[in-house]
Amino acid sequence: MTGEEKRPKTVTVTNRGDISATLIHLYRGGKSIELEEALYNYVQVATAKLPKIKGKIALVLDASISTRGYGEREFSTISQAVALQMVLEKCCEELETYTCGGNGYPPMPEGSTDLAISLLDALNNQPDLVVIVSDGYENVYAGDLEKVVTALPAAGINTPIVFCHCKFSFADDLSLRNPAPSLPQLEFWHQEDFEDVLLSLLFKIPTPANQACLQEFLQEKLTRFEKELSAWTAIN
Amino acid sequence: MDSNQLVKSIELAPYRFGVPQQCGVMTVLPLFASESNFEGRFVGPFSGLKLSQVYTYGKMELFNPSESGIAIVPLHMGYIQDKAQNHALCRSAFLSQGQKLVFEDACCVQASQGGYLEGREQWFFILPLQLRLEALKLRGQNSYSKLWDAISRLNQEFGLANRGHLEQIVSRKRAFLNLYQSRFELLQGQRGAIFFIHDKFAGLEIAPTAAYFSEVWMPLVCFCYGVAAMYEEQHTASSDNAPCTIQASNLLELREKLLQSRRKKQHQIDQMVNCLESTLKAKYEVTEEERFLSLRLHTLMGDNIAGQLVEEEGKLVYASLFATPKYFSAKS
Repeated sequence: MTGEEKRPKTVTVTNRGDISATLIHLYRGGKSIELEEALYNYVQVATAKLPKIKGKIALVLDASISTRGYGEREFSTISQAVALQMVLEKCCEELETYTCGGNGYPPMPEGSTDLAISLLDALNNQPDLVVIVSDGYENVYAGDLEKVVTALPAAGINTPIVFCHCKFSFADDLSLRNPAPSLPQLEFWHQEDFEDVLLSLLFKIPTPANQACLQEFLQEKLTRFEKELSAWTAIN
Repeated sequence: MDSNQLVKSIELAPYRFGVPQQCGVMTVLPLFASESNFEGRFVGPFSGLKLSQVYTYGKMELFNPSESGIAIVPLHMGYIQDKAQNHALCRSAFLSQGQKLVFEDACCVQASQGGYLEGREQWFFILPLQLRLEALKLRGQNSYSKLWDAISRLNQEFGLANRGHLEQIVSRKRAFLNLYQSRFELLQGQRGAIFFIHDKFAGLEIAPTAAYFSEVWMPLVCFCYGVAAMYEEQHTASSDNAPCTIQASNLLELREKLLQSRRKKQHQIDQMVNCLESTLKAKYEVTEEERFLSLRLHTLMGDNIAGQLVEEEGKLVYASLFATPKYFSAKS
């Protein structure tokens, strides 16, 4: 999908990819086998085309009450964050999730945001990479995440950590939502952004196994592209 | 009830404090009540109060459409309405189920046309902290333009046009102010909050039920205290310049030092609360405003704190108490 196609004129909670759109209905209380089956299928379809990552990844998932949102955007943040979680569960060899706030699965947003303690919990298990997925509103002991992040090298921890901003749309202003400016930052608002996110994560664990994963992904993508191109040239 | 007994009813002892939340210059300390005797008796201001009519400048009517439940009008509640005049109230009041109440002492916060109001188009706010004392002092005075001078001054402070249009702040800055409801997080079962700006008491808000508080939370955090915080953030140098770091040689030590720094922060908050509790015990001029069965609505006017509260036989039901400009601007 091109950048133009990714950006609908009007972004709504249900035009940011099939996974989050289905999750929105589940969050709104639409519990049905049809929705759950569709969700499973959408995750399968999406992950089939995405790179796989070898290694032990810790996901710090912010499910605090601010990720619920309000008004017409209610559940938009949490649904896209959980969509990424579901994709990571399929694409990562080993994924451990540390939910910050929230309750249940998919987590219903509740509680406040304590990303610093969740990060320390995640690091305890010695992962190869920590991925923090959050709306960026850190209000419980604000500033603690940055404090912890800057203290890690001296504490002998050099695990790569990436902060992934979960946004409603491409136009979100993140100026008040950056609790750890010293961390590498990624952003996503649409399901189609997951590929870039996963590729960035893949580069953070540059093992031979992941180089092979990258090569395989690029090869498959090239093959798909060549097939599409040959079909197009045959028609034209 | 004498003023000593009344002040006892605003003691914070029956409330449990949540973990403080901080964003920018504002700190919010969530309050939880250990007992909830008021469930089912009160309706929230969003679901239980509708602005049914503005008869003329300064005269507006509220309606409690609920089938059961008393509505306590939040102190300094105001309405923004498309194609009609925006008004705010200078006082709280009681409305029983099905009751209509005309406020003849409402203040116009926008010089424009009056008219009949469609309920679905309205949203409400609480007057910015900077206007609250003046508005409270003007309760009972029937003059629609009575708050225009104060609004003009506030607009000037924000560098906006010098006129009595509050929508210059609450509507045009709405996108920024709305962010306060995400920057701070309402917690499940939360019955109230203490607001601090630059670690100084700004307001104490207590609702009869968690459902009520959840309905008044956004207007409070965004438009009442949010406007005051926005002003401070725009006009004062950030105090976060000095980097606050933790030195630790391993993960365990890092966690311990983080928790230590949190205990220190918690201690600072405890001191702020202690300071508030002694401030609350100061002398007030107390006026009983209204009764509803055993409920009493009082106005408190003190040097440092003013506001209104509702009590029932000495038990606090609702409170909206705020720092006076004199207290708020004094150096601590």
